[in-house]
Amino acid sequence: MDDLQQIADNLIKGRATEVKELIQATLDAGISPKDILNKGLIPGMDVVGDKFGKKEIWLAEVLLSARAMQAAMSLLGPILAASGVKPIAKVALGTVEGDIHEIGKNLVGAMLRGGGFEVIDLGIDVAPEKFVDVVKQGVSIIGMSSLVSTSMASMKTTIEALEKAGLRKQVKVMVGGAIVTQTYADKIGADGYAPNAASAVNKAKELLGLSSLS
Amino acid sequence: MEKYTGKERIEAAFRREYVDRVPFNLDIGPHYAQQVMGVSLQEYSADLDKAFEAHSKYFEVVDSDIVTVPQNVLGWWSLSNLYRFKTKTEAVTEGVLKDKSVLADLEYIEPENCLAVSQVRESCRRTNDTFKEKASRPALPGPVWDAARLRGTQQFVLDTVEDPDFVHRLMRLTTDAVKARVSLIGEAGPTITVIADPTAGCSVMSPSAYREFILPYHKELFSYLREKIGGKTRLGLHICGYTDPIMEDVMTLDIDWFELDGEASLKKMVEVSKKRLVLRGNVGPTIFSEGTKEQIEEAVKNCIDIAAEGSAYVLSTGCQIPLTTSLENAKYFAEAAEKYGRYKRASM
Repeated sequence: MDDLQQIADNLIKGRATEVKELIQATLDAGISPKDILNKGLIPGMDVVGDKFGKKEIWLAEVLLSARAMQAAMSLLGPILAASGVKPIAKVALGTVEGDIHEIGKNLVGAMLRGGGFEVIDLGIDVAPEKFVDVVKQGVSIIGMSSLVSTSMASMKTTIEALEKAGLRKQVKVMVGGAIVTQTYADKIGADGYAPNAASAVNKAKELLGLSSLS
Repeated sequence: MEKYTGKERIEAAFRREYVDRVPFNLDIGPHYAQQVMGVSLQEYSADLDKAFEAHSKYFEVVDSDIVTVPQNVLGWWSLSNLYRFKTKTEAVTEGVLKDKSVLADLEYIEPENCLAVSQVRESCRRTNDTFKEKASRPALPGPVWDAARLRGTQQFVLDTVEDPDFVHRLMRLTTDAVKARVSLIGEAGPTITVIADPTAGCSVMSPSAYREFILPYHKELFSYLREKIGGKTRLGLHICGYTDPIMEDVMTLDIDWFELDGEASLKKMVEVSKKRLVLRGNVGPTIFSEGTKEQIEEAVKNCIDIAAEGSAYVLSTGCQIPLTTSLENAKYFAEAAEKYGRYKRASM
């Protein structure tokens, strides 16, 4: 089995330590960090997303893979940056104000990192002003998560805050979460809706006109 | 035609009979009461008079057969009201078990000294007195919900893989707490005492994790409650999200009632339960905020077609209706339940 496939396989199994060791060994063997990302990590996370979508694996396994991905990027990220490899785009994620659920948002973050995006995690219970501030700093997409109907309205409030700040046209807005639907996304003027973490990567690429990227 | 009460319809469902129609439940909570009934969240939570006023107003518009016992969502079930440290006076907060070693210093507050328990007991009694014609249903935090709040849901899920012993020790604490607490509340005699464990389902826990870390505690909990309060109330379980892979496991619990939600298949649960449990759900909640009258009727008809024959079914959403539900859509649902719930009586 080649080294990149081993990285992917260990990522799928959520083995953070092994993934980091393999990445280091692969770098030492002269394989480029870009290839490690594009041919090892991203295909690995694709498999995780696919299996989760098909209910072949469960949340715990995805969380382990997400953690392994984070460990991988803690090693690889600075090397990629130093070698001039840029992320696809910068995405800021947050669970909206009034909602403290974090798992869905974290999964989307892991999938996006695995898909080659830089992710800024704003955390939970994020006020509209905080989303506005991060857009001012320059992100291509904001992703808002809500799991309960009592906090859904914060998504609309955030979009209105972006409009009021004159920033709406310079950022794409994605929404998701257990109770959010495409209809609701359309109603509040979001640019995109992803029904699950795995589909969020393709949706983000689609919003940026990058659908052909894998 | 003779007019029956909501309570009679629910009792009939437990007997696997019908009186006049399939019973229905359109569950509102304090947030919806605030939006539609003009009772603020603070008023609803702090003042039972206001909470009951909200439900009374709601029933004038949507005459649901069940009333969910009003509870103070802002305070009664905060962890500081349920658990304490053995060695210090600080309040127990969500995520207190970020450091697992803290578990050794945690204990549950005896229900006799627990304000939350006495308040819910009082609310159950008052619900029975105020809404005599309706079935009463308190939804009470279960052991998984408590455990996930104490540890943090994400970390709790990872613990099932990385530290099974810790999960068992935590579930021991929370199961003992829930046993003590709910057995006291159930003495107030609500029609159905529902244990709400939203994170116990497969949207959060794998089927194997449910079997290893939750099922034994659910079994113990319901057996205990059956013995303690089974003569005064029926026992139910609510799990949010996807539950299809654990439906057979749920059937091994000593419960009378199971509430389906989200992606869970009503059809599968009807097949698995074979009318041995009363089922409640599974009208999708989003249809209330986004659906048309025709779509609501279709959803009602669909659920009735799947589950109503042979009784033991309560037409309902899985969880509370979304905050964005228009009162008009809630009325459409009630009208559809009246219209289509008078179901194939000749064939029964």
